[in-house]
This record gives sequence, structure tokens and C-alpha cells, in this order.
Amino acid sequence: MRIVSITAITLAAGLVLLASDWPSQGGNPQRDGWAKYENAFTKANVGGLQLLYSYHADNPGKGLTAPLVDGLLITYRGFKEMLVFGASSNFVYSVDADLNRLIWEVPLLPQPEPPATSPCSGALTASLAMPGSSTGSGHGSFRRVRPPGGVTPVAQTAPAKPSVLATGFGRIGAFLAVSGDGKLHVLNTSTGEDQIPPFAFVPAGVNISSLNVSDDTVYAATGRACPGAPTGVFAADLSSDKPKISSFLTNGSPIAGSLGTAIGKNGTVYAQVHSNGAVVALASRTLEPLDNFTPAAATATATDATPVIFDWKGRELLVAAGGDGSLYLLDAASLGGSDHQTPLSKTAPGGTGFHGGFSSWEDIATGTRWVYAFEKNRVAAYKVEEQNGTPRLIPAWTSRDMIAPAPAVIANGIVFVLSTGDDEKKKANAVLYAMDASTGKQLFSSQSAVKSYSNNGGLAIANHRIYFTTHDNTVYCYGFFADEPQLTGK
Amino acid sequence: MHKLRYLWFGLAFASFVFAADWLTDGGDQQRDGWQRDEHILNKENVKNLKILWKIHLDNQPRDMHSLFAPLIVENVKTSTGPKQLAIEAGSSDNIFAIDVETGRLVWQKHFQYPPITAGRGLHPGDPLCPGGLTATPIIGPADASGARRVYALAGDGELHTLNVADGEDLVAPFPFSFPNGKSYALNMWHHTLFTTTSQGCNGNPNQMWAVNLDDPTHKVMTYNPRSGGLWGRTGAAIDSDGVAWAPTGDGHYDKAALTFGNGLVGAKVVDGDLHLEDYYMPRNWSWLQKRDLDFQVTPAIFPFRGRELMTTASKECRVYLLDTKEAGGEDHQTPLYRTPLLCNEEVNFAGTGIWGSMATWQDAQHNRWVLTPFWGPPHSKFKVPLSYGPVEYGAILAFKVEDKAGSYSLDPVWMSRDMNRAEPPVVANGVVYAYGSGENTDQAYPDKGLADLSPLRIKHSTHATLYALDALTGKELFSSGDQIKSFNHFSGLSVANGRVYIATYDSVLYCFGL
Repeated sequence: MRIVSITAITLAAGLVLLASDWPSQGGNPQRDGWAKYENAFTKANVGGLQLLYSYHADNPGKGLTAPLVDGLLITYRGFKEMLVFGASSNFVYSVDADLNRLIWEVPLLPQPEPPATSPCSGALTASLAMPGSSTGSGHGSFRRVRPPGGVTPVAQTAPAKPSVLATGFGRIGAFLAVSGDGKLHVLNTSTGEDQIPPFAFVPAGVNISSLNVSDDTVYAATGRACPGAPTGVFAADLSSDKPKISSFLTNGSPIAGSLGTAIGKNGTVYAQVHSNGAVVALASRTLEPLDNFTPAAATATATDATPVIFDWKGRELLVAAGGDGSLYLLDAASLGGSDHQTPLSKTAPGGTGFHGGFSSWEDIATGTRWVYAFEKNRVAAYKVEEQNGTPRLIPAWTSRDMIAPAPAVIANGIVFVLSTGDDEKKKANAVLYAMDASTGKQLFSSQSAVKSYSNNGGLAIANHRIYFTTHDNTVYCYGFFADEPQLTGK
Repeated sequence: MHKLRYLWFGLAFASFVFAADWLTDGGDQQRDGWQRDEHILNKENVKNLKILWKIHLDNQPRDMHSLFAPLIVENVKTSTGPKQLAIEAGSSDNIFAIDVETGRLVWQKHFQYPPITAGRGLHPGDPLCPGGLTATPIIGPADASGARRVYALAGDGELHTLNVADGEDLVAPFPFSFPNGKSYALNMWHHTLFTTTSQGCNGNPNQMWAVNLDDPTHKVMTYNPRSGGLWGRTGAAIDSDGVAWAPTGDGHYDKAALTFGNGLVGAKVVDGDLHLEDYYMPRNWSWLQKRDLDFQVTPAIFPFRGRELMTTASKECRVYLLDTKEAGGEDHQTPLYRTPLLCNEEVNFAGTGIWGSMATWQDAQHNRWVLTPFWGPPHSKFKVPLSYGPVEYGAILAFKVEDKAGSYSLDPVWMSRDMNRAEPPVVANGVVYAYGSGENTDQAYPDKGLADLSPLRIKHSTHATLYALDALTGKELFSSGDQIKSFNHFSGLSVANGRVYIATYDSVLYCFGL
């Protein structure tokens, strides 16, 4: 409501400032990877993408999390577009995304010798998150607006005691991070300092995949099993002064995929149990089980991709991986039907299986819903089509060869995907590709510009720039110098 | 030709060619901040400056605004004989006339109007929209009898025409600007008055306003660049063709949509309407917009080797040199010269960068100087030949205008000592008068986010300090130290006849002299 009123004031003066965020890995709670309002990249110009800069983080260990972008933050040091990422050594970094300058860095834990780097030895493993969405749907907002004639204390009219995750023009925001000791940190976006004392959230030393945020609640999921540590989904409800912790445990099985959870528009949390491929629906905030899809025993094998949720003709659908290399299309409102074993449809089994997560967008011009899945060595694209009243995933194209491609980001009809080079047997340098989202035709390749592999592959796209991190503690930023007068001095 | 024009302006604007008046904010229509007729204060004696008098005026501050730069006019025929008066405007719709010889009040006027009960400008704590009187008045030319009028814009948007001698209304007030619309200093071209408004205060259209005082209908002419506000400290500067130039503050540039935010627009009255005549848009306007680095500095206009130039700046902390006849060239984006970044390395929107207005003067060797205040420390890559210790909170920078075979530049010469929020200077007889306002300029806080609230800023403001500097070297010649007891916000200096005036938030007007 506050956002609406600010918009009205702003529009009345004919002055609107829009800024996109990339608030979490996957772009939004639904994990669709759709940068819906990004239009700087076109099929005609994307071939000319340029490496704007790279930032080397002074991380004592190796490996950075996927970056997130706070597109417009008013700090005591000025208006900032902030690039934020964590490091294995439990540092969090904030970089001025316009100027490639460090804004702040904070250690979440005292630094051990040697630094923690192993996923089960107290390293920071989860990509950070903040409230918001790259699509403007679901919970959160993609835009911040600015009142006319300079900055004003409009945000100060917020309710007397908003949640620490409340957003609004001019407010201090929150970056959420889980340190290697399992504590949740609610970081002041301006300074990186803890806004509230860190508190126990997940078991210490577990491996957490990327965080998700919805309804003033932060969600974490165990990305791989660590000896002796519980596995499952964890929730921290921050809507009141005293955080409420809930969990859904999975008896030693991690949660599938690099993106952890996916959250529907009504706040329902979805996750897939790695060991048996069961997809569970959990209540917002409390994680009470609501529903599940449990594949028939013959196909109930390990999976490794976080489900994706998207709108389809007035309802929400969900794509999840089958252990047999198939894809399930599920109705988010009734996973597996009455017997919990019946998907809306299923693709043919085969291939090498799917990894990481999925990406999806709707081609507004044609009404076509696209879903992209990530195999060991390529991207597979599907259209969602209705056949005999049932939505189905129809194979459309497969990409060129890649090495462990990670979930993509779609912007303006272009699929951006990182070939991570993170092969189990042999590491290779990551390569950024841009492809025609409808045909898979390659439009851009970074070729040999990236000097290391990426251990997370998470792309972030916001405000005409593309970001990713690599294992050698480097953040890469691609875009067009013509859009960056502050970098060129023009 | 240009010399003749300027001579004509001077004659038109002053009844006594050698009278040292200060009839408008910034000193003249060109807003050059140059007091050409100062002959009492000089480099040798300015070190002896002291407070001649100070007077507490019956004015209530509105948010951070209080008193504006006083206007100084000589030889006013009052009922008790000819006097040199300081005409001081106060935020709560007050005009005061003070006898500068004695420091005593001669008359005062309070503008009364039905209370404005709605809209922005009524909410205490919002420094952007204080409501009330916000435009420094202007004193018009003397008539045949030597009488003068002071034009003042009340908070209800009505223009008052007062007799300088006694403060009485000479003409029935009439609507000119927007109620509680935050108007800026009045300027005058022939018999047409100009002002600008900003920040959309109380719903005002952020625009330039003009009214021909000879028009019995008092038709209000406007030009709207569709930006966040024309908030140059001294309003519009007027060039030799009557084009009023004003910075447009926040906003976008879209020529097709006639939108000119973050640039400089020049508008002129033609056939009874105010029309856009020319404009300049910095190529990096979108960057300025993104980081809230508004183009908001009133330009200073000056003749230079057969051309008429102007200089302006923004919070980004660059100074621009433009030709008034083709600002920005054919594409409106090519200045004659743009300095590198002088300060604001952090790229902050508050408490750093260049704010307010510029100043310019010419020395005896015909060197043309440009002066700019700035806030915060200088940029680490900016080098200046003469400086006086580390600068943390702000300073004055002096440049020489150079023209090498048609290639213009602003060559830095000196940077002053540190000043706590350096404000637009005035140059007089080889001395630069400058001051640090002592104002707290924080608008956002680590623990609060954006909180540009007057009580916070007032609480953390200190006091203004007046400085006199050698105009050729920047060397400090005088400092008022802690003699001034309060700060000021968006006010200014006036210099005339051996006196330097500065007003403060606590509604005190100080007069320094020998």
C-alpha cells in the first residue's frame, strides 16, 4: 500500500525512477530466473556484450556465492546500486555495482586458520537473499520509486513497528546470510552490520543451498548431507521481535537443487527431497506439510534440481525433475492429485538427468510459456502446451555443448546461461552464453574471457548488467560501456 | 558590442553608477557574485573585520530556512533622511529594513494571508518544503525621483511591491508564483520578474515563472522543463539577450517529450509567453539522475573575449563552461569545457558536491576567474597548484578561464582552507568573501536510512564562519572564528560599502566591517 501511494505522488510529478533488483539466486521466490523488466539486451545487440569489469574479492578461502543486486539503495554514503555476495570464509561483500568499488565487507564469524572452505566444515555456502522479486509477482516488489524533487522522508511514515524485513523507499533494507555456525544474520544493507543479534537457524556446519524469502520469513534448505547433521527445510519467521524457527526434516536426505526452495504466490513452500524425488508442499512460516507428490517406486530415485513455479492459465504449475531423467509437470494446488502420485504430465525418461534448477518465462507476444532444464552438458528447452486439456512439456530445442550449465536467466527473449566448467572430473573456465530463447541459437559467448570455473553458476541480471562469480573469488560484470558513463568518464 | 550591453545593464539597474548596492541575490542579473564597486575593504585592511552590529529580527524559522541574503541599497529617502538600508527577508513572510549605519530597524512588513491548510509545506520537519517566504526579494531600478521598489514574493504566491523607504505597498499584491511552492530568488530583466520553483512543494509545477510588471493584467508566464525542480540557490541567471538560465535538478532527458531534467534550460519571454530558448544536457545525465547528483547550481554569466559565457555545476562535482548563445553546441550536450571530478569521490547525494551558485570576476590583468564552493573533501585525483591544508568539509575553488586557440578550459589556481560546508562566495576589490554555513547536511543515516528531517539536522548543525581570502591566491586574510553563533541554510552573503552581511538560522543578521 505504501508503494502504491508513493507511486501516485511520484507520477503526479511526472518523475519516476525505476530500479530492478535481483534479490536472490533465481531472481524471485518462484525461482524462475526471469528478469521480466530488463530490456537493454536484444537479439540484435547482445552479440556485442562487453566485459565491463571484474572484481576480485579478498576472500581468504575459495569460492563466492551467487551475487544478488539491490538496484536502488539510499545509504548514508549515497544512492547505490549494490552487488552483494558471500564468500566461503564467512565474509559478506558489498560492491558498488556502478563503479566496481567495495562499499563494505564484513566477517560473519571470527576467521579460523586455515579458513573454512569445505561445505561441511563451517563455510558460508548459501547465496544471500533479500525480500523482493525480479518479476514483480508473488511476494515482494521489483521496483523502487522515488518521490519528486529529491529525496524526502516518505518512508518514515511506515507503520510503527514493521518487520525487520520490511521494504520501502529510503528504508534500511536487509540482506540475509547464514554463517557457517548455522546462525542467521540480518544485515543492514547500508553497513553490513547485524541489525539484530544473529540467532541459531540451521545446524552448525551444514551445507545450505541458496536462501529464499517470502512473507517476512527466510527459508533455507540443506544442499547436501553432512555427517551427523539433520537435513531438510528450515524457516525463520521474522514478522515479530522474536524469530520463530520451524523445520521440516528429511531423515538424512538433502533437498534437491542449488536453489533450495521455490515459493508459490500464496506463500506455500515447495521442495524436492533428493533421495526419493518426492515434492513436498509446506505451509508458509511454519513448514507444516500440506501436500506431496511422491513418484511411483520405480522412478523414485535421486534428483538434483530445485522445482520452478510459474503461472499457467490462472493457476500455478510446478516443474520437478524425475530421477529417471524425466520432468514432471505438477499442479501447485494439488501435487500428484488425490493419490499423490499422479502428475499433470510427464516427459519421457532418459538423458543424464537434470541439475541445479529450472528457468521459465512467458513470451508475452505469443503467450508461450517456456521452461529450460539443465543437463550435464547442455540446456534443454520446452514449451508448455495444452493437449487434450492437459498441460504438457513439449521439447523445443537443445543447446550447444556446455560443461555443467547452471540455471539460466531470461531477459527480453534471450536466455543467458553460464557453462560453469565445474565438472566432477575436470574443471574448465566458465563461459557465459546468450541464446535466442525461442530457438537456442547462440548469440554471444564470452569465450576465454573468464579465468576460472564457477562453483555456483548463479547469474544475476539487473539494470542492464549481468553478473556471476567464479571459484577464484572473482565477480564478472557484463553489459555495454555505452550505458555506463561513469565507467568511461563520458 | 558586449561591453556596451553590460554598460547599459549597469545603468539601467543602478541610479548611481558608482553606488555600491547589492540589489539582488548574487549581486546582479548574471549572478556573478562580484561586487565591482567595493572600495573600502581591501586585502590589506580586511584582516581587521569585526562585527559592527548584529540584530535579532522577529522572524520564525521554517524548518531549516530563516533569513536570506540581505539586499543593500544606498541613498534611500526615508522619512528621517537618506539612509543606506539592508532589506532582509525572513522565512515567516517578513521583510525588514535595517539602517546599516546603526544596525537599527527602520521598518518591517509581515505578509498576511489566509492560512494554507493543505499540501506539503505544512509538515514541520521537511527541510525541502518549508512553506512561507523562500525567495530572496529584489530591488528594482530607481525611478526619476530616485525612489525604489522592493519586490517580494509571499508564501501565498502573491507578489508584493513595497516602497523601499517605508515598506508600504505601492501596488496591490497579485498572484505570481505558487502558494508554499518554494520559490527561489527573484531576478529581473527590464521590467519582467523571474522566479523558479522546485521539489513539487505543495503540488507546485516545478518551473520557471515570469511576469511583466508593466502588464496591467499581471499575466503569469511559465516554462516547465518537466523536472524535479529548478532549485538553483539564486534562481535564474539572465544573459544579455534576456534569456533566463536555470538548472533543472532531478529528472530525465527526453527531447521528444520536452523533458529536460538534470540539465540547464534557458527560457525567454517572447510575444507575451515564456519559451524554451536553448538548453544544455550533460551526456551523463542518466548517471546524475541515478545517483541523485542533481544539476542544481545557478549559473554565473560573464563576458569573455567577445563571447558571453556561463559556468555552472552539479552535485557530481564538475564545473561546466558554456556559451550562452549555443549552450552545449548543436547537440546541446557539448560544453566548451567540463572539469574532471573535483570532489564527491564517494558519489553521495548529500553533504558533498557543488551546491548553490557560482561566482566570477575579472582581475586587473584581465584574467577571468571562476569560483565555486564545494562540500566534502576534494577528489583524490584532483590537483590544484595552491592549497591551504587538508580539506574535509568543503572549500572554495578558483579557476582561470583560458582560451587557447578556441579551446577553452578552466585551469585550477587555488583551493581555500577547509570550510564547514562552503557556500557561494562574493568577490569584492580583490578579496573573496566566503563562509562555511555550519549546517548539518546529512540526509541519510546508517541506522535510519533516508531521514532528511529538519530537527535532526538542526540539532547537529554548528555555526557559520565568515572568511576573507586573497582572490588571487586563496590565502586566508580573515576568519570570524566562533563569533557567529548559529548556522544558516540556503542563505547567502552580501557585500557593499565596506560591510559584509551574513544572516543565520536564529534570525540574526550580522554586519561585519572595519
